[in-house]
Amino acid sequence: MIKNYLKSAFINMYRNKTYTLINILGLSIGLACVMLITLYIKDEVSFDRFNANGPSIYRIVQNGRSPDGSVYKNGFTGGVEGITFKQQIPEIKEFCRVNGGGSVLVKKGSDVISEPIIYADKSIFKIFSFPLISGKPGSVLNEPNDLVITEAMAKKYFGNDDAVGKILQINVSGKFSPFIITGVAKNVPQNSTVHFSFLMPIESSLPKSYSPDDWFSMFLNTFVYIRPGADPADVTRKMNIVFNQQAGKTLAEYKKKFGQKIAVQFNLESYYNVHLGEYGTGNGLRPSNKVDYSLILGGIAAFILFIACINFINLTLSRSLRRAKEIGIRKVNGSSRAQLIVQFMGESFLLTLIASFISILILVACLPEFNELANKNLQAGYLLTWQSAIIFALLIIVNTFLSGFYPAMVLSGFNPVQTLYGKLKINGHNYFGKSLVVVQFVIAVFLAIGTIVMLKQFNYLVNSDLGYKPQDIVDVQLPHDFPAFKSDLSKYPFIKDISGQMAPFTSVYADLFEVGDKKLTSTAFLSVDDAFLNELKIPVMQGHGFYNMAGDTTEVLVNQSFAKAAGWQDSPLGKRIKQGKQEYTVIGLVHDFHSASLNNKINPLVIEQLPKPTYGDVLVKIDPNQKVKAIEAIQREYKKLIADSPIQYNFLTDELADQYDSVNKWKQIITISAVISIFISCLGLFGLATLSIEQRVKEIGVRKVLGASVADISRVLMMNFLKLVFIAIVIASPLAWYSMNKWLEDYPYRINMGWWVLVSAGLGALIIACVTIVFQSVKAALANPVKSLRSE
Amino acid sequence: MEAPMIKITDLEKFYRTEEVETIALNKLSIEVKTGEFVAIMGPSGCGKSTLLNILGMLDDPDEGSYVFNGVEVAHFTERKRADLRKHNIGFVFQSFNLIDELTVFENVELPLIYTGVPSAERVKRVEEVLDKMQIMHRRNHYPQQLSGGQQQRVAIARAVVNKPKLILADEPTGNLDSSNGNDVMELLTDLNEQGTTIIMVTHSEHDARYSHRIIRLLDGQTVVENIMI
Repeated sequence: MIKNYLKSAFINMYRNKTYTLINILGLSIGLACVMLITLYIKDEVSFDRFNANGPSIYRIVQNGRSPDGSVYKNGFTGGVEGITFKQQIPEIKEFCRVNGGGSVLVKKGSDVISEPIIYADKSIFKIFSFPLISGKPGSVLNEPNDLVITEAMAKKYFGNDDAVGKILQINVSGKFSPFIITGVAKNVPQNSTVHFSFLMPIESSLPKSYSPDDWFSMFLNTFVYIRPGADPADVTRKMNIVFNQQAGKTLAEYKKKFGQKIAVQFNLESYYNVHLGEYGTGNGLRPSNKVDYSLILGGIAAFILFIACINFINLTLSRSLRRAKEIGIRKVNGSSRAQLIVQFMGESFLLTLIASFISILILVACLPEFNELANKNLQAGYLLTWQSAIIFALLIIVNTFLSGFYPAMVLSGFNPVQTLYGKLKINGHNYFGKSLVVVQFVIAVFLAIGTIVMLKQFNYLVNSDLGYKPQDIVDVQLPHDFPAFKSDLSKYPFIKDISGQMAPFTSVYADLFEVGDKKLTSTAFLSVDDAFLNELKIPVMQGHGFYNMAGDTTEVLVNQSFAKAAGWQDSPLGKRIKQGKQEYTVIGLVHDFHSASLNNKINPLVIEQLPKPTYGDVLVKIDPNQKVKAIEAIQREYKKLIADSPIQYNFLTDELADQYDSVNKWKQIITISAVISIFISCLGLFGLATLSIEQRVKEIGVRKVLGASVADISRVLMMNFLKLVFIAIVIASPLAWYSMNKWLEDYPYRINMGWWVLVSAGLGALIIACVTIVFQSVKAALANPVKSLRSE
Repeated sequence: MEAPMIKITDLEKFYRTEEVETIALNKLSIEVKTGEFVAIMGPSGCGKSTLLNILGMLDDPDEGSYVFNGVEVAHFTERKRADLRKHNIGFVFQSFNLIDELTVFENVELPLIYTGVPSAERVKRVEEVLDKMQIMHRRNHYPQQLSGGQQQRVAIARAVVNKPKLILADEPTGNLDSSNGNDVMELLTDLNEQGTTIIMVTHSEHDARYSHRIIRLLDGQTVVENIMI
């Protein structure tokens, strides 16, 4: 029997190549999307699960209140919490602080290589499952110059030799010094929040000015390992008691100084929750992620597969007239309805199976691109685990049911008498099939509107007037020797301007300033030289910029937002402001500009001038027509002055674009999803139109005989489908309007969506749908009516 | 007296659309004995095919009784009807109704598959019947590679492969030329002589003469019965 079914299925697939192709293509793309997202979600939820002690590991986090009363969640702690809490709270068996250090320079022969580094207590090897393949947990990270590297790094620097005991020259803070490798750890799994290739003792990362009883500087992550069985709520309570005992006095002082609203409350965050948690990561931890992303991606993938399933259902139902005879014959010859259901479900299973094999190929081909988009390092090899196999098998079964069940029920229910005497009429209106088409296009149009809005918002963010001119400016990081670099470089004609700043002005620190008794809490603070404002074309509205008078660091400029926040009605010139004990005089007012990205509002800003040698970041404005020469000159002059550190430079415009990386990636993901959805929907529309036209051949013949023109007939045929697309547009537009406005609300600077977005997405969908079916319609309208009528 | 194989009493069947109700069978009563060869004749729309479909349990009547081999089947569920049908009744159609995707052999094998006959037994029985119908040499051909006469032989082979007690033939020669038509009628006569009951709907007086009895229908009622001598 199975052989008989299989044969009938294969021959049917072969004889209806267009139909088979549409189904397999759609389903394989849909399945590939779902598999990709499954891998993504699997990776997300499996983060850190490899740690044997995982359930007992927590991160110390804070829920606090800022002076202005706003509530914040903070994943960082200082150096003191781990030590003190372990001493005072018996349930805490061990603690480990983890801090990030960006990258360091490592010598390998004559090469200098930049490597990422993190710092940790040596308990890292006790708490976490990071096995040492060489060296002992007790004998690593004891001395300031101890170093642990991973297997991969050991191989990179020492080949197959045992790296333990060997020395690497590393430049951590300005000069190279020797570090002894005391351990080699197994490569850290890529789905680990704590992730390292070079690891140094935590002490080296604590700031020199840091005092060991400082409870209010937060810059690293503290993990605690709690005795199994202990209640974390109990530990939390005790932590806050200890904190209030030890830091209560200081907290009271801060309250007096900054306002009574300040509050600090310690909490424990389960290690397994860190990756998708609300406290965020940073300072040595891999970037965390939002659960929302998994949900959105999962939803999109499910929608795409659903669209493909709708194609299957609709095409199978439309083709059912052709198969009606077979169904009738089988019934007359003794087949029960159940047997026919099994047969048709089998066919949908077979098609899904073929599609799933193709989907694996698509998946493997798209994985690198997807990794890039999703910031992941997923491997095709993950598919070979038994969990993936089960998920895949389940997916095939679910898809078989989703696409095959309804058609199987309908087809198996055909009355044999009607099928055999050609009297079978599929429900003339076919509302079900039509609603499915509408659903497909609702999804497609929704995504299309999303694409247009995101594209527009992205372009707006990237191309908006920032209040300064970032074009043709190269941002060079310079460890030292700013004055020499500036004077050496100035002699080239293609170098237009050079200015120095303490740190890139695009990532400024917020600080507290006082104006009279007003406290301006989140005020940005820039340290730049006298050329800065001019080079970036930031207009000074009142007073003047800095003259070349390096030394007087008590004169500052403020921006319009500062003046507004300070409540100054009159000229700000000569006004006094305070930062801690330091007092400044305002000598100028600059126009507001976006020092940070447009993802943030413009904050009050104070600009000061420092002595020249302190500048570590140089902005070089070059002649856009001689870019190559200019870059070469910058590299040459840099090398002359700084031998031990490779040059790092970027165009300012690229750095700015990086800040919109996230919206850029989402823009791409939604665009791709929209293109796929529209493509699969149109495939279905094409198939449906073809089949529907076949069934209306006689009607077309009669119409032609009665005098209808080709245009008349084409219009009648096309209107049938375009009507559905139109209904979909009407449904999708308000939904998309609402959701995209919600999405835009997260941006302080955003586009106005405008009715034309909806109209253009709708028109686009209609045009694409038109193009999809116009060929079949016109072909049918051109056919000789004698043929179709004679065959009756 | 032997009980009839088929006994229908006051059978009624209506076709309704929103505006019209058509009476296809109007209080029709007929009996057919085991081993009989009955022809049903009448003009288009007189209810011949409707009757045949009800007799074949492909359709159910709206009113009246249908007793098949002593069992009242008029209001059987679809499943029960399918079960009774596959063990007792073979069908032959004017348009042959072979599955285009299956070979001659596979088409004939179909009823055996649905009655759960084991594979080896199936091969034996299909070959037997193909041999009898003189179509063995075409066993691996597909329906569209055969002439009309050959296709109808395959259809008859399929109808008899399960050794049904009753064969229902709906204008079995309607799509054939006279020579092929005669061959088919000979085949049916042979089957009847071997004990199979046959009920045949036909327009052809010539074909009807092969039967024992002609029932003439008009507007869903029996108008006359001719006993053939």
